Amino acid sequence: MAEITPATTVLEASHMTVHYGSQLALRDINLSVAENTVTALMGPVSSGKTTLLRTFNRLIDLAPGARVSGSVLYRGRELYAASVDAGEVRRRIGMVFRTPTPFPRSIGANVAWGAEVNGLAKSEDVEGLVEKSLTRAGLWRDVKDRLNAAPSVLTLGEQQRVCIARALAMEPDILLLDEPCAALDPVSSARIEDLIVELKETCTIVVVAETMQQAARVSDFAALLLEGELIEVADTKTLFTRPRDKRTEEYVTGRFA
Amino acid sequence: MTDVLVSSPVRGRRRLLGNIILTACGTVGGLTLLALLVLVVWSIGQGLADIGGTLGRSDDASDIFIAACTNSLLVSLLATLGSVSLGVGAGIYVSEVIHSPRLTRGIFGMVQSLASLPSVVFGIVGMHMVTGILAGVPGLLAAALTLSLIAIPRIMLATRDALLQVPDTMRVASYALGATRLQTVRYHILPLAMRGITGGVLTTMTRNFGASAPLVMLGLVLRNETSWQTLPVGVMQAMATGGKSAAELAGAAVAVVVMVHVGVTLWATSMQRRFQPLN
Repeated sequence: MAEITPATTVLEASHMTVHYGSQLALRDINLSVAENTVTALMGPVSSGKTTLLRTFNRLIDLAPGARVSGSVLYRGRELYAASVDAGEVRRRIGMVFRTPTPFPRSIGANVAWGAEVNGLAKSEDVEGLVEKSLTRAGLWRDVKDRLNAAPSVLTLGEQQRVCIARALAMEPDILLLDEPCAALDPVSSARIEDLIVELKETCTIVVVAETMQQAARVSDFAALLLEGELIEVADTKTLFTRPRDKRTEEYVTGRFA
Repeated sequence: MTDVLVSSPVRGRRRLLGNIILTACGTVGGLTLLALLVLVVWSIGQGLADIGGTLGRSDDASDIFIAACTNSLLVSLLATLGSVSLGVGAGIYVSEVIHSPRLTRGIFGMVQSLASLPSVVFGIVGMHMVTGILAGVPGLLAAALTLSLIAIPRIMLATRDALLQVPDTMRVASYALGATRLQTVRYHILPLAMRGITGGVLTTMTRNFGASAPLVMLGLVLRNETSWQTLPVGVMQAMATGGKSAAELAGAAVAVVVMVHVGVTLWATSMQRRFQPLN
């Protein structure tokens, strides 16, 4: 079946425009995301990277006055169709944020929470699920004796990996990462970046990259956004070495004002 | 070479001014605390003797006192039960569920003005209810209902303030895991807001216990009944009618009100510590 080939498109935005009230946030976005790849979104502050990410799991619905027009297809299904339940979308398309967002409960309960409220884990499976998810997030060995402790005993980098494990516990098809290393030190950042590359084996990743270097290190495809417009999207090497658009060239060579 | 690290005269004057202001603030704060302590200790110390005196009397002062204690307890319990469930529920609904910031702001604007209305106004509302749609309702319920009306907007505001303290990232992270609005409120927002909400509830409970103005208004139409006569109302009546036992009864009543207040405060503080979530 076509789904087995790596080139399967899992997410496809076409002519997608997003407004916050009367303010235009994204204009006529056309972007395809291939299965089991890492796509990095780059661009200066308020270029629409986070907004684009949030349209992919309908988290944009929470923003007062946000309107999405055009189409976003997830495996061929229109995400913004009236019959689609946003909760179902979000459990398949997980998300991790700029700063760690642990819930006020224990480390283990944090990891299991999403799977539990969605009815994905029976209570007897929870322990196994927690271990599996933390192992995938590369944190099991460090926290296996502290599962009942509050997440605040962990470093920020470890907390961020708890949040990644929490997203992984729901077996997401796609993982959206919004500058996942923004609050972390270089060593923790490097571990998260390694993790992104590993996770590509089992899910598709769209990441808002903090720096061009990070995008170059982790991604297969890269996209540049400027003031709500998608300037260029290509495989990462091409985008950095032979960009088609003059603005992309200026951005990746650091001559962008 | 001149020493550049030595304090300049300007810096010295600034420091002196700062110290004067800090000392003044500290003194005012300390005096306030002291005054409060003296008030509590004096009213309880004085009142304990009055309670003994009142209970020892052979006239009806002792009966009035005991009845007023029971009434106060029942009325404030009923009022707290009603106002807390409705007020917290409404506060959560308006803050978390309504999806329009403008509507939420509008509603809380109105609630704010309701909360700052003098309680006598609510007393009049209660009075009209008792003579109108609630005619025949026992005085106890009428009193509790009137106090609930006063408390609901205050509890709604306390709930809103507590919910505002919960960082938005918590909500977004919960929704991002596919949680519903209700699950988000139940599992993440309420535990974090619980401390603030209990604070608001505590204030309401003790205020209900000591409320007098609106109940005096009720009393104007509930002459034949005494079940609405709570401790503060009892104090006012005793002082108005005069008599030998009046001053003693008033002292006893005030002591009970203060003791309940202190007791509830201590209890609520320990409860709040239990609500402290893991973080």
